[in-house]
This record gives sequence, C-alpha cells and structure tokens, in this order.
Amino acid sequence: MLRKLFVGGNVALVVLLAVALVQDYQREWKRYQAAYNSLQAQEAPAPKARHMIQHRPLEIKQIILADFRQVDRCITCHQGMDSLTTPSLTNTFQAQPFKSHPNPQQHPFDKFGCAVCHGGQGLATTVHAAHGEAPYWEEPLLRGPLIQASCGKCHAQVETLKGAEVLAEGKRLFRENGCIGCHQIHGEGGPISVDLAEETAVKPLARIDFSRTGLPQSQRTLVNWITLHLRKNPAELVPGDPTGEFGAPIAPSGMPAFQFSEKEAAALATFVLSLADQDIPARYRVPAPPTAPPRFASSTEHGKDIFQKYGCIACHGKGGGQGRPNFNAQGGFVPTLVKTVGTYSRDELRRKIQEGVPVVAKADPNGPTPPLYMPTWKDKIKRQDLEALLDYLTSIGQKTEEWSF
Amino acid sequence: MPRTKVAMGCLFGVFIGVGLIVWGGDVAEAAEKTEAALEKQKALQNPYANDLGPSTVDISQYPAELQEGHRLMQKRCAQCHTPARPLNSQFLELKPEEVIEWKAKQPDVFQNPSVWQPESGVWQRYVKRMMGKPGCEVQTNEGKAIWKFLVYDSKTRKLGANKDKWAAHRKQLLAQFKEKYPKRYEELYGAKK
Repeated sequence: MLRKLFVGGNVALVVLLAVALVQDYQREWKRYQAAYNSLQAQEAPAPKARHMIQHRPLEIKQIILADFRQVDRCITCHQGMDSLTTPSLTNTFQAQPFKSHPNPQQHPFDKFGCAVCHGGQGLATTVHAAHGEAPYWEEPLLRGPLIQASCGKCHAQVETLKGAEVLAEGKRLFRENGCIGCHQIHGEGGPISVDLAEETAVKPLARIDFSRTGLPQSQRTLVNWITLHLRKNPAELVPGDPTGEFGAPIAPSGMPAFQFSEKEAAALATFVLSLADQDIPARYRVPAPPTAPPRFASSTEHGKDIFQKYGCIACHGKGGGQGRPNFNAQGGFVPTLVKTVGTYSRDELRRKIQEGVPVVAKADPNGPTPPLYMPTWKDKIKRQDLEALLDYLTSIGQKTEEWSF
Repeated sequence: MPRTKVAMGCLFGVFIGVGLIVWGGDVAEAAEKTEAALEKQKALQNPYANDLGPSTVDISQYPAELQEGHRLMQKRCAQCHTPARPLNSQFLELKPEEVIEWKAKQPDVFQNPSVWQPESGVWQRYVKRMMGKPGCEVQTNEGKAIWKFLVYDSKTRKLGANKDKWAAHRKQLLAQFKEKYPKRYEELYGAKK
C-alpha cells in the first residue's frame, strides 16, 4: 500500500512538473515576444540579422526605477519600447503591443518607466494583470484622455502643456463651476465636502458604495464613480438617510446635479485624478513659471473673479442667478443672489460674507441638517478683494422699484 | 336592558364621531403648517429684544393711509414673527437731508445704535428682504404700505418729543432681554454696547 502511494505520489509530481513546464512554455508574453521578433525579422535586410532576431531569447524584461521605487515589466510585451530590442525606439508596426511609443525622447523609459504615467501593474506579466484589470486593483490602465491625469502629477502648469489639453479643460471647468467652493484640494478650498486630492483621487474601491450606480462589477472603478457624480444626480448615488432609519437623519449628497456632457465629465474626471499625490521626487516636478497677478479693468471685474475663485458659483449659481437645491433647508434652496443682494446694505453684505451662515434653518426640524451652508470667509476674502466682491454683488442685484412717499 | 344598551351604543358612537372630527381637524391643521409657520418657528427660536415689547401702538392720530399700513403689518408680518419685532426695533429710516437735520437737533440719536439705528433705506431693505423669504405672502403694494407705516411710526415714536421716552423703553427691553437671553444678547448687541 505504501509503495503504491509512493509511486502514485511521484507520478503526480512528474505530471505537475510537466504541466508547469508546458504552462511556462506557453506564457502569454512569450507569444508576444516571438511575434515581435518575427515582425522585426521581416523588415531586416540581411539574412544574418533576420536569423539573429528570430532566435533572440525570450525573456522577462524590466526597467528598474529606483527614483519611483518601482519595477516595470511592460517592455516584456511592448518590445517597441525596449532599447535593446528596438534601439531606435521607433518602428512601423500599428497593432499593440508591437507599436512603438510616440515621442520616446520626451519621457525616456529608462528614467520614467511606464506605469507612473499609464497606471496598471508594472510588475505583472499577463495582459489582464498588467493593465490593472484584476478585481480591486486600485490603479487600472489610464486609457484615452484619462492618461493626461498623470501629466498633472509632475507638471504644475497644465494650461499650456502640449498633450494635456483635456486636463487643462478639466481644470478650467473646475474653476468655472466653482467646485472649490465646497471641495478642497490639499486642504485649500471650501469645508463643505471632501478633499478631492487627499480623499477622492485616492479613494480605495472597497470604501465606495457602488450599490446605487447600476454598474456591473467590471466597471466599478474610481473613474466611473467620479464620472457618475458629474453626469447623474449625486443625491441618487449618495442618498444618505433622511428619515433617520439607521440613527440620526443624514441628508443626501448636497452636490448639485450638474449633469455635464460626456466630454466635460471626462475632462473633469481627468483633472480630479491628476490631484492624486504620488511620491514623485522633486527633481521630476516642473513648477509653474511665476506669473504676474491678474489685472482687472474694473473693481466689478475683479469681484467677479473673486466670486469665481472662491467657488461662490457652486452654491449660488453662475452670476448668482440661481441658488442650488439644499435638502431640508427652509425654502429648499440656497439664496439666489440676484434677488437678495438688493435687500442688504453694503455693510450688511460685508458682514454676511465675513460671518457666513454656519447654521441653516431646517424646513423639517426633525429632519437632517441641510448639507449646504455658507462658510465664514473673513480669513480668506479681505480688504480689496472683499470690496471688489461687494462691487460685483451690487452690480448683479436685480433693480427693484425704489419706494418713495 | 336593551334600551340601556342602545343608549350606551349611541353614546359610544357620539364619542367616536367627536373623536374623528377632532382628529380630522388636527390632520388638516398639520397639513396647513406652511413655510410661514416654519419661518415663525425659526423667528421664535432666534429672538430679539424687540420681541419683548408690546405688539400694538396707538395709531389713532396717524393718517388713514398709514393706519391701513399698520393693519397690513399686523396681519402679514405676524405670519412669520410677532408684530412686536418691527414695532420695537431700533431702525429709523431717514432721508439724507433728515440725517443732517436731526444730527443738529438731537445728536445723541446717532450715538447709540442699540437704541436708534438711523440709516437711509433701512426699512425699505428689510421689508423687501422679508418679502423674499419663503412663505411670505406680502404683495408689492402691501409691502410699500407697510414700509410707509414703519418709516412714519419710527420717526414719530423715536424722535423729537418722544425721543427720551423711546430711549427709556428701548433700554428697558434690552435690559430684560439681557437677563432672559444673555448669550443671544451678546451675539446681537455685545459689540454695540
């Protein structure tokens, strides 16, 4: 009996060894390398060169990036970026993974690698894993314009950066829509909602409740979570607990339903992702050149810039034209400034801006605290900025009939 | 016995009927808790010294148009706060030429903002601000009438021969308010003492 077990065990081991050898022989990357060798050999002019190329050993290739503490094995399949296999780093192949990288000199691969820009798993040697498509991998491959999010990790001034047009558009939309009024970026901004750089851009998937998104498991990514907030009604994604079923009542998300277009949402999502802090050495960073402070044609124009800069638009609407919905607030909306500013004297307006409205009266006293409130601005908007803002607000107020006896 | 049972049954039915009527009334009343009622609730939770004063004043000598403004103020403004709030307010709306006139005649009116707050357009601004509040049913012509009353009434009761009487009244309200709501007093009037 024991002898049979011993023999059986040995046979099983041999079989397993054979299976392992066959599996290793049939590695995905080996097929890609062999195919690349074949393509390259076809273009080689001399028979000797062709022979050498076709018999090149198939092996794992990697770039060791000490500065980023990363190892990228992308060139195992993407031979067009391997300086040993393709010394010129250019070729005529069109299909992936054989195609060479555009502008290889711009960010040398031996210095930057691949994953720091493209995302994915640099260490992996299968397509699925390397492209970050494994379940719960936090950094999938950045496809299409999303890759421009990586530009923002090093480049401070993206507005004039060639190749970062989508990122620049996202940054412009972020300012235009006053997102900074509620959100912070590394602590700077409004206190009402989350820090986009410290929280949103690096949010672990395990902490996102996708149950109301309607997304299948394969599409439950951080990018899609951000994009849905921009395209749909955030209150439906984050409904809170307004009836207090599980404890104290909590209002749904106060983020307005901006319902951006697909293009705008992609640009904004790219911008938000660009805020993720990565441990990039200072020598890789490209700071923005110093710029002169903006000059304004009038105090009103200056005030308009302040109104936009501090994100007042986020709650009060563009030009103060329409206050946003505010759940369980009396009246149901943030005040529409064009209607209300005319009922305040300049001093009263100044005080209102400085003191804010930290407690918004509830429509239902037993309901949740309204999610939107006006923070105090006295430490941020001061002196000339404050006076300019007052000039602007005065200019947008709807004129009402002046009563007289 | 059966007659007793019938009587008891009728009495029971009456009780049920009355109960249903009362309950139905409560439901209707709850449904009518309007935004104005909520504003009033908010106002009561955030009192002013004004609220401790009387809710009516003697307007018998006022012109008819202004008496109508007073009536509208009592009806409309009271939807969201007590009439005492505007009637005992320190606001005093003066035209620029009136400011010059009264600064010469009674300069102390311009030295104690908790008692007198003389300001151009202050009542107009506040009436219009209230008109923009949720649940406010004041129409423009009504708002104008209320404003006219408030401006006239303020000048009549807070200036001239009535200046000292007004000062004493207002100071008494502030003292009472400070005793009753010390935190709120500091919040509203602390810097203006």
